[in-house]
Amino acid sequence: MLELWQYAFFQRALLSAVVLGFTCSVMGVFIVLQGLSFVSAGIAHGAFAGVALALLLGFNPLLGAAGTALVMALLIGQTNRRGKLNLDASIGIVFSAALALAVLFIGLMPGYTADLMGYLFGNLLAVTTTDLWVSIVVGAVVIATITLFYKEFQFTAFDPVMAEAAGLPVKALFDGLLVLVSLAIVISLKAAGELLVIAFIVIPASTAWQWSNSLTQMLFLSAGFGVAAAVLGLFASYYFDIPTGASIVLILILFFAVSSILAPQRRAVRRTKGLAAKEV
Amino acid sequence: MISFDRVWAGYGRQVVLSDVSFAVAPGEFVVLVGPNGSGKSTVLKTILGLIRPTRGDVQVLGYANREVPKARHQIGYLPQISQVDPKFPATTFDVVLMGCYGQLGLVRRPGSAERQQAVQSLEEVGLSAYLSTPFGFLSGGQRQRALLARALMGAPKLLLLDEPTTALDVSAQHDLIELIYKLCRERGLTVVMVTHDVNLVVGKADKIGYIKGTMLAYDTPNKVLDPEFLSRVYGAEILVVEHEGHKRVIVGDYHA
Repeated sequence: MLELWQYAFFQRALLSAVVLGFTCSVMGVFIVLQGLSFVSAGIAHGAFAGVALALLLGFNPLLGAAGTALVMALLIGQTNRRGKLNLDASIGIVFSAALALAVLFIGLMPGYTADLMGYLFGNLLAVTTTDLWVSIVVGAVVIATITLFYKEFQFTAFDPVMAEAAGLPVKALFDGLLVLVSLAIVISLKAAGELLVIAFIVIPASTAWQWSNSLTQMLFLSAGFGVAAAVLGLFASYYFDIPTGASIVLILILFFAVSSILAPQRRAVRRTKGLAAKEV
Repeated sequence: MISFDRVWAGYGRQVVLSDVSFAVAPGEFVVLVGPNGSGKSTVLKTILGLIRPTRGDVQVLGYANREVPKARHQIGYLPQISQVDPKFPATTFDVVLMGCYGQLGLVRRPGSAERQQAVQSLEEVGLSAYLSTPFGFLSGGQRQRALLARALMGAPKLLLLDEPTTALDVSAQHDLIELIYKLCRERGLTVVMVTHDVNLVVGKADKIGYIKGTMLAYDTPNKVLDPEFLSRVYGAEILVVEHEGHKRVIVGDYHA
């Protein structure tokens, strides 16, 4: 166990796991509460298409991922506002377009694309010092923005019509949320992989929801589940020689399954009935 | 307080309201009724400034047309209960506190004055015992009372109610309307309420408006509760009976 700490790659991986686990799981709370899980999947596909484009044209994959993820986020926001399509359908269209572009870019690349496969499945142990610093800075920006606009995001997630009636810039907040989730996805892409980053956002928040009676509680629990799964997943990955992304997600699934059995949902239903009966 | 003068409004190219005119005086309790999709909620959204009329003039609390959104901080709004997710992780107190978020503006957090105001609002609607109870654990009637407490935060001059009794049982409907009426009279609030069930408010409304794309009638309850007229609006046989000095509307096969 101790010898692991001597390795710089492991120290970077551990720090990266904490940053990603924390950022994605906090971000995920607002995504899950607003029923936008499919949005994160769409943006992740867009980010992957950006990585493929960057590798094809020979520039930094992170920049490619950030560019296409942000375009995806704004496209989804715009399509949703046009009002003729459900959000669900508009994400489906943008999602398919991004995936088709990714496949096209991969097809145009000569030879085996090992780098690209790294972004598809993720590997925390391959995180570089630059990757780590980018994650820390971008993650801090995401968390600071959520903290700053906490009450606005809370009101919009709970009752968007009333939030708009109260004068809050609901459309800008929605776009802002999509931009923040795009940033969280981009910094997680290399470590968690395009296919598994969605789980990093959706599962900790969904697990925390089962135990929470307030938003603050849900945020702290989600962050706890996210960080714990990331760190435990990293150790599991090292000791059992399995892919990091997969081991983290399987631990998240374990947390979710245990919570589904132990969380006080049944008691909550009983309490609801009890309170209703006591109504004057 | 509110004035609509030949107002046309809708969503995009879809016209929902055409040539609507009515006025609400300070302190009045006004009820708007009409079939589904008749434009009742669109009137409320126009008052809130969420929808801008394509033609005509709107005045709300001294603000006209483009300026109408500036009146929002003086308006309390109680939406349909189906609009909010009861599973959302928030205590009853959290939900009521949201009533001051618009007035606080961006970034600024609620302080002790706002928290005290939320406690008082909860007391007024009889929910002070449920302060830290999760919102989803409340019954339908209690949830609407909590949302009413939220609407009363910031001492509004005008209260807009969008089908507040939908999905509530008969007793909870009656209790909620009584509470709204009592609070509004105590505070001298002006109320515009949209509902399907005119009987709930017959003894309380100062004016009743019938909307079906346009304002078909707008007057005191005694003048507008005409069975022939109502049958035409709803497309069903409707009878108006008088009980203990108040008119009651009966819809459908009332001979059975």
